[in-house]
Amino acid sequence: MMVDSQIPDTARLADWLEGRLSPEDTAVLAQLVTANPTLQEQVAWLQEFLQISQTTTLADPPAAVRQAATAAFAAYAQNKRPSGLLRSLVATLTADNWQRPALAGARHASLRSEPRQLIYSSDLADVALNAHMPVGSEQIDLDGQLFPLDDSDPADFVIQLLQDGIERGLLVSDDLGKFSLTGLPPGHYTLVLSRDQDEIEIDPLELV
Amino acid sequence: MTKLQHLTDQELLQQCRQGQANAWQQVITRYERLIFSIPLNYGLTRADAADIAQLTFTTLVEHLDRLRDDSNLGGWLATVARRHTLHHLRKHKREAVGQEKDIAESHFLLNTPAGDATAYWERVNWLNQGLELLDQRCRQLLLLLYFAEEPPAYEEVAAQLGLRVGSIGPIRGRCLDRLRAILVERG
Repeated sequence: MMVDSQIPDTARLADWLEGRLSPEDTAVLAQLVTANPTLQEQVAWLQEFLQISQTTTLADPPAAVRQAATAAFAAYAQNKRPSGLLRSLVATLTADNWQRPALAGARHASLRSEPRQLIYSSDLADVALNAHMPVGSEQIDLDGQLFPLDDSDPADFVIQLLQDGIERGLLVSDDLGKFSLTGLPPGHYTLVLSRDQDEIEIDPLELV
Repeated sequence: MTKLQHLTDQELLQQCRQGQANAWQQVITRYERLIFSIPLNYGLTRADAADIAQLTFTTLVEHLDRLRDDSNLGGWLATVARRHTLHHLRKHKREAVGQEKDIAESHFLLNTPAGDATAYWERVNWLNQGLELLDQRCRQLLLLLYFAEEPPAYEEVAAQLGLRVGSIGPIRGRCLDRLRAILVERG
């Protein structure tokens, strides 16, 4: 039985929260905690700890996990990836709002009359493009967004727009993978999106 | 604490990018329990959980050069481990081991009642980092008493750790005090 003047230690508080105390000791302890802000802080921390522990299993993995992770890092550290070797991917057009059955046989749309939405797919990322010609302008704005297939950070892709081998635009995708190129003359382009040792090429990109 | 234990995640990652193996070993030490435990909590077997953990560390190696310096490494690893776990579950359409309810009803997947899964696992990671900084006896004791899949009786704990049964309660209290002090200092 607890003496009223005793300040319970953490073990006692844990026993209380885990229901190990007698009803009499429980009542005494509850009164002590109610009257003592320091004890209340301790109890609050223990309650959070116990809440997490009741819903979570934590276990140490077998040694094989460390062995495999060590081997993976060893390959990285020894630079087994050949430097300068680029994985180049050609993206495939998978959606085009201009390719609609209703337009079959009709005059081909142009950016003067209708914006064009394109989706390209590759093994690295999907790329959504929206090309439009602002009212009163003869030039084209191109907005795009990258969606890495592995859900990795889409930021910091280098975006390069080429026309006949000549660079027409160079920028970097933002935190959401978005980029914009404005004031482009109508024509046929190549869009290259790259990061580290990967690049995605969209060619040809018709902006007419 | 060892010198490596004092380093922040960002400092460890910088050393890893320089190819320093001991820094990588510290990353493993710091996070292997968390990323192994995440798939366990989704009902995967220990063998499958080990595969997920290996895959998660491999993914980290592949992203070492891309991770921002201000990345939340624990949160990033937890997210990757969860993603690999969900891929595994969808691929194998497996029921939770030892549980009758469908894994899809697990509160971890539904983000209830624990709330946002990312925030939940970051909280678990915070606690796990504190456990990692405890001495081995305290860490083993608290993991056995509070985080084991099947919490053993005090007699079994005493036998495993070479303690008297009657001493487990007081030692438990001191270990919890140390853990709390560590976590308060870390913020």
